[in-house]
Formats: sequence, structure tokens, C-alpha cells
Amino acid sequence: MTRSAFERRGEPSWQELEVLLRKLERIGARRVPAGEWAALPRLFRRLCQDLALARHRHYSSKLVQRLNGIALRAHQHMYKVSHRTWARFWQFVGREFPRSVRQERWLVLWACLLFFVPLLGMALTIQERPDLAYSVMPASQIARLEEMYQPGEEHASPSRDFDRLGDSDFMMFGFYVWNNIGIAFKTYAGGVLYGVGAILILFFNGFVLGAAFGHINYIGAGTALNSFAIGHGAFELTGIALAGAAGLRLGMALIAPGRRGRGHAFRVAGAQSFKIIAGAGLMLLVAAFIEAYWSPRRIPPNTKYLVGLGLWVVVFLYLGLAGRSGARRRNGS
Amino acid sequence: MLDTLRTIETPEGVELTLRTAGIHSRAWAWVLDCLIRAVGYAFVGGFLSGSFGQAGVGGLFLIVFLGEWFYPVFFEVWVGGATPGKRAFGLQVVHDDGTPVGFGASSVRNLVRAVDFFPVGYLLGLVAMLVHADRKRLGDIAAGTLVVYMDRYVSRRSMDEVEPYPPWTPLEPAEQRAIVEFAERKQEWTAARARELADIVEPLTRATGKDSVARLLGMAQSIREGR
Repeated sequence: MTRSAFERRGEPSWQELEVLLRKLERIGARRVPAGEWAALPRLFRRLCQDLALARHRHYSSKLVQRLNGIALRAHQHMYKVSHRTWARFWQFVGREFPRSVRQERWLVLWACLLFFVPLLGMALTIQERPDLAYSVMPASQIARLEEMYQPGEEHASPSRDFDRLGDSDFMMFGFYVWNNIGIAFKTYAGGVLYGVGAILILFFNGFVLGAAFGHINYIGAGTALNSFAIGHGAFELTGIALAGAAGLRLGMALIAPGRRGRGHAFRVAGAQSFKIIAGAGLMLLVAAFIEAYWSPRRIPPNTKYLVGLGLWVVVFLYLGLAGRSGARRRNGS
Repeated sequence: MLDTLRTIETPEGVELTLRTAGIHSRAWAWVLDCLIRAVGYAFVGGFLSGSFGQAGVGGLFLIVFLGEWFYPVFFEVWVGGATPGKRAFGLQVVHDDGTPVGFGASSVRNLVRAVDFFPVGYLLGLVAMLVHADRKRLGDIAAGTLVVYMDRYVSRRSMDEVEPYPPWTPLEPAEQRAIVEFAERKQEWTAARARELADIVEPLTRATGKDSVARLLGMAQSIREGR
């Protein structure tokens, strides 16, 4: 068959496919009637066959390019993953996230050690050597902290200086989301550098947080700060540690790819670690909400401690148990 | 081979060719996206803080957070695989196998962007793109994604109909193809350039200059018709 005969014969079906594709691209797959949809696989297969023939027969690259271009677009519609976003979301929160955390429990443990050991170590050391706080944080920052949390007070002081309106709560909510989740994402991304970035950010944040807690407790203002922080801390500190674990997952794939090639291991780690960082982001979102709307309320510290403790238990139970029953059922069947 | 093509095999058993995008167009797409976001922030920020006071500032924090981390994700997943900037430069983000990018992969590539930017001005990402055969930055490597040119075919009939001029000697398939491509791409060059190229194959056309061009076009026509 000559090239022009080949084009004459194929042209109608190529054009039919192009028209269909343009429709799918312009108005979206959902609004195209199923009847028109149905032609896609047939037309696509026909095109693939023609493309292979055109290549094999060395038809000019213009023709091959054109067919290749149409095939690429059709390929994207053939193998599109449908986003059933909400169903996926609840499945993720209820099962996939806690399961991924348990699956990576060793990395999670390491991330927790890297974060909580410097935090607690620093907080305790400062009780013995209070001047250490000044070598970790600038004096101006310490002064600001002292202003907010004053000895003998039960609550953080900003709430005393001005009437906290609903307005400023929302401002703080926005700030916590932007700042805290941003830090979590950077910690995760830092894992790409063979884990070094994630480790440094975890360690550094633990250090500074520990210094702040140690110092405020040392000057006798512990109640104000501790009762403020315990509630959202359950989600926030855990969330940061999990973000670090997700970053370590990426880094470990480069350091010890196991039985896969490095590139392949890295891609797999990308998909798996995403489940953890996405969950960590959601936890920090919850934390920001608690920190903005619950933590600054003027409620007796003992109530806050109780509720805060309850939240820690909830987080541990959630990460430890959620999504277990489904796993057992699947293994059993 | 040193080129910017990447071949994927589809389940239909045919190979599709993707053209991976280069640093230049991706950088410009990024600049354009930054401008769009900056204008958006200024607009929304002015409105929010003007009419809602402190709550508006909180809203601005949220919008900047979403804009910096999820603006590309939104467009890549739900609006045809490309941010407005990428679209303007004909780029699209796809999975390594050429399928449209999903939420997970798109998020990973855009979260890891923070490291690609490190320490300043996308230095790490730039190094990665220069080293990687498919010009991936670190985020693309982790997510298993590619940034490719999306070809939109424009002209279909680009060959003029001329009198066939059968070549005096049998031609190899590769030679035939070169001649047909010469005819198809002739409009993209100046007449002088076409003559210059046609002069190279003087032994075949047995002519020079304009005549050589005309004979090549004739041969292309004859090959197309299979005479």
C-alpha cells in the first residue's frame, strides 16, 4: 500500500478520534455521553496499529509525529485514574495512614528519638544549667517568651492584654497552618538529601523547643505554658515527628535501596512516604485548630491537662489501632 | 543517543514518543506561575485584610500556604496536567508511563520542590535536571513524573502537489524518508536554505539550485504515491 492510500484509509478514524479527544479535553470526561465514550478503545487501538505500521514502513516523521501526538492524548484518557476524592479521603484517614505509620514503625521510632530526645534532654538540662537557654536562642526571643508566660500565671498572657476576639483566633489558625505545616513539608523534603535535611530539622526543632520549655519552667511559669501546649502538642509534636519519618523513608531508599535499583526504590519510597506526610499534614491541621481555638481559652489548667492527656491517648490509640480489623479480614480471606 | 525523546510502551504494544521539556521553558513557566500567584496574593490580601481585619490576615496566611504548596497540585491533577504557566509554554506533567499525573505523585513532586529550591534559586533542582537524562528535578525523580511538551498538531497538508519525478535509481527506505521529509519541511526554510540542502544530493538529482529542489519534490511525490 502506498503512503497516500494508507493516509486515505486511516484518515476518517483518526479524525473521529481527534474530535472525540477534543470533546473529552474541553468539557471533561464526565459530561461526555457514555455512548460516545464507548468508541474510544476501538479508535485508539486502530490508531496504535496505524502508528506502528507508519513507523515500520518509514513513513515521514510528520505523519508519525501526528499519529504519535493523537495516540499520546488518547493514551491519557484510556489510562486515567478516576478521582473519587472523598471516598478515598476517608479510607485514607481511617485505614491507610495509620497502617503506613505502623508499617514504618522503625523509622517512626527513629524520628521520634531524633526529635524528642533533644527536646526532653534540653528541657531537663536547663533546670541544672539555666544559662544554656541563651546559647540556643537569641535573648530577644527569650524575652518575648517571658512576656507571654509569666511566673504565677495560669494562662498565657496575650489573652490578658487584650480581649481575644474570634477574629484573632482565626488569624492564629492561619498562621499555625502556614508555619507548622510548612515546617513539616520542608522536613519531609529534606529527607531527599539522604535523610540529612530531615534529621537536621527534627534535631534542631527539638533542641529549640526543649530550650523554650526548659527555660519557662525554670523561671516558674510552667503552668501557663504547659497547660497551653499539652492539648495541641498531641497532634503537633507527633505530626512533626511523622513528617520526619516520611523524610527518612525517602532518604533510606537512597542509602539502602534493598533489592531494588536506587531509582526504583526511590520512586516506591516517594509513593509510600506520601501517605505518611499527608497524614502528618492532616494531624498538624487538627493541631492548628486546637492551638487556635482551645489552647488559649481561660479554663482551669487541670481541665486542660486532663483533656490534653486524653488527646495524647486518642492519638496513640488511633495510630496504633485504626485500620487493623480490615487487615485481619483481608489476611484471613 | 543524546536526544530529548523518551519512549514508553503502551499496553496496546505500540511505542509512544514523549519529548521531555528543557530547563529553559520550565524556568519561564515557573516565572509566569510566580507572577500569577503574586498578583493573586496582592489582590486577595488587599481585599481580605481590608474587609475582615485580623481574620482576613488569617485567611491570607491560609491562601499563601495553599498557593505555595498546592497551587501546582491543583492544576496538575484537576486542570489538564499543567499550571497556567506550564500551559502557556505547552508543557504538561505526566507519570513516567505517560498517564495523567495523580494526586499522590503531583503532591510529592511539589513538596520536594522545597529541596530543589535549596540552597537558593533552584540550584539543586538545576543540577539534577542537568545530570538526569529525562531532565527531572529531585521532585520528579521521587514522584516518578516527567514534564513533557504536549504536541498540538497544526498543519496537516503541508506538501504541495507536484508532478511525480521517479528517481533514476532504487532508494533505501531511509533515503526515501529523508526525501519525503525534505519536501514536508520545505516551507520552514528560506528558499536559499532549501537550495543549499538540495545541492548536497546533486549526484542524485543531477541538477543544482532550483532544479535540484524541484526534482527532490518530484521524487517525494513519486515516493508518496509509490510509483
